[in-house]
Amino acid sequence: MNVSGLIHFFLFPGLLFAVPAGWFYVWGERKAVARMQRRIGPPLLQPFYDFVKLLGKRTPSRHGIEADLLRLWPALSVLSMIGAIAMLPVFPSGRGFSGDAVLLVALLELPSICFILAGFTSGSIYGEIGAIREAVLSVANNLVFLLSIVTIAVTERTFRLSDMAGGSWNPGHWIGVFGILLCIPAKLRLNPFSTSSAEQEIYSGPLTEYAGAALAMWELAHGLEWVALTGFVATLVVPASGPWWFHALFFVVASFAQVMLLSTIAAATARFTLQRAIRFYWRWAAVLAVLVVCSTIYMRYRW
Amino acid sequence: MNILRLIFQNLCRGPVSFRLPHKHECTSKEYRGLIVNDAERCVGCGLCAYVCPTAAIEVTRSGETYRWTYDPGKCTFCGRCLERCKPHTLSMESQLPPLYSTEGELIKVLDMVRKRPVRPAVAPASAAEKHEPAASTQAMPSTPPAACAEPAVE
Amino acid sequence: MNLIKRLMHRCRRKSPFLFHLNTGSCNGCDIELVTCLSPRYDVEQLGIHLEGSPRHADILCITGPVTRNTLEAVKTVYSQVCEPKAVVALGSCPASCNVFAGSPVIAGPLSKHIPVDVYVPGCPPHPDAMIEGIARAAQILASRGVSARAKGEPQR
Repeated sequence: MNVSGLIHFFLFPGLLFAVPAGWFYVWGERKAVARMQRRIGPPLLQPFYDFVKLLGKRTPSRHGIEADLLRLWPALSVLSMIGAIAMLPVFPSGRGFSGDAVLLVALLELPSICFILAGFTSGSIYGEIGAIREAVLSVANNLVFLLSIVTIAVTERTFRLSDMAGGSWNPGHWIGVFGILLCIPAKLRLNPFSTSSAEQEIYSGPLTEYAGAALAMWELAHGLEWVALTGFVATLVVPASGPWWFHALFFVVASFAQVMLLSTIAAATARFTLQRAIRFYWRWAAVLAVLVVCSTIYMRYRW
Repeated sequence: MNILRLIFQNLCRGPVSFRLPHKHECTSKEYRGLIVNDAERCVGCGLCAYVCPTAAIEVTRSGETYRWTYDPGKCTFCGRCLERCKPHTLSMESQLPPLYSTEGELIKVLDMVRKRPVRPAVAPASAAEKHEPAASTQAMPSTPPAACAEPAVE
Repeated sequence: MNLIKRLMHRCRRKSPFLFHLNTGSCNGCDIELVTCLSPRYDVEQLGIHLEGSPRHADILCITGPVTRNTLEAVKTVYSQVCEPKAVVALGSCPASCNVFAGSPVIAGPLSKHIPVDVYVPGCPPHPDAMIEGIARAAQILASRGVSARAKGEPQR
């Protein structure tokens, strides 16, 4: 592995940047929602305090394969998220990994799958209901997500991330970015798509039986999901030319702008029922599917 | 888009929350806090124990001394004891009752000697205007031996 | 190491997660507890967060005199909260059953069944008093750490 790859994995935008950035974005969302409700909101280091406190809890001892599986899911989520963040083409001028969009999508999918499996292996009825909701919502929302990626790939004529990055003037590119932005609230379980972790209804859903360090890992995975998803959209909109520090700065600023946008949407809406959420995504999936097919045909016969 | 306008207004107007830790200020002098008994003037009639719905106040007698016990842990802060207290020795603090960690930590015990009440029953100024309408319509059924059986003359 | 202990103490004090359990209360204390989360008092400033599962929580807030039907639930939920933990009895019902004392359907004050750390008197207590009670419970559980008290108890 070359030095640049190691820097990407451990320094920026990898582990050392992503973990504090994840905590910062989680704090940003909580603070923004609080301010929009005329409250004060938590102090800046709150996610850090929560994380350290959860590490210090004494959890019940479980035995058997179930115990190992329950510990596996959050660890897998965290690792896949760090991998996804490391793969992000923050510096499109060839300084990063020349990775593939398909691998990125697979890595971004893993936390959702682990969440569902955690709900089923936890053996609690609330976990099962939450996992079912998350599974159904994930099917609907992945349709839009994958169609958006395909739209961008078709317009850029490549699946390589470093070529997809950089805002181009193709309308197809921007339609794809819009589609990805539509999916992010469902992936992050924010209002209005927070039905799988509906506290008032299902007592924390799939994470009901988690405690202590495993729960801390879930919260960390959630923070890293924020960084990965908003970072992905940020890399798709950054202008292609410019010095490396401009790209890094734009990455952070664009991610945080999305955090604020998503917080506003979360504060302004209530929770959709599962039916309504699925219908929403299927409609957008239909629109995007039509656009992808049209743009493919257009490009095939035009160029 | 009303909600977006509301959100924008909220952001401009700022938070309404108290900055915690917040020291509670009782803005009303009729705030119902802990019961305070004036041991010098209490006659031990036991009316407060009789009307207390939760038995937070107990009055026991041994010879010439009365023991008045009050357990704030059981108290509902309803104020019935104040309304019924004829010599007007009970009053309520106007601040929040304090927290405690051991059961029975806040129990107050007063021992007093049986005495004649002050005639006429003179109430502290604020208690008089609060309790005068209630105290003047007394028709108590059989009560523990009370030194103030005659109607209170205000 | 001393530094780690101090960091853990600070983090435990700064981030108390609550779980609220109603054991037959008239709902007065529950309404006042929810008021603490509203914009006027906003306990999120102190990092307090109402959790959906007892396993996620540190502080158990109990309202209501413990009725016979809820006794099993109280014991189960208490054993599900992970150490270090603290229990806050909100209102005068868990402290002494208030007007319900002596009733055949009441299983007695809370301290008969689980150890209570902070009692908040009032019927219902003022939200300021509740916030102070929760903050004191956070202080208690931070200084308690994972103590000897927990070692003999079954965890479920």
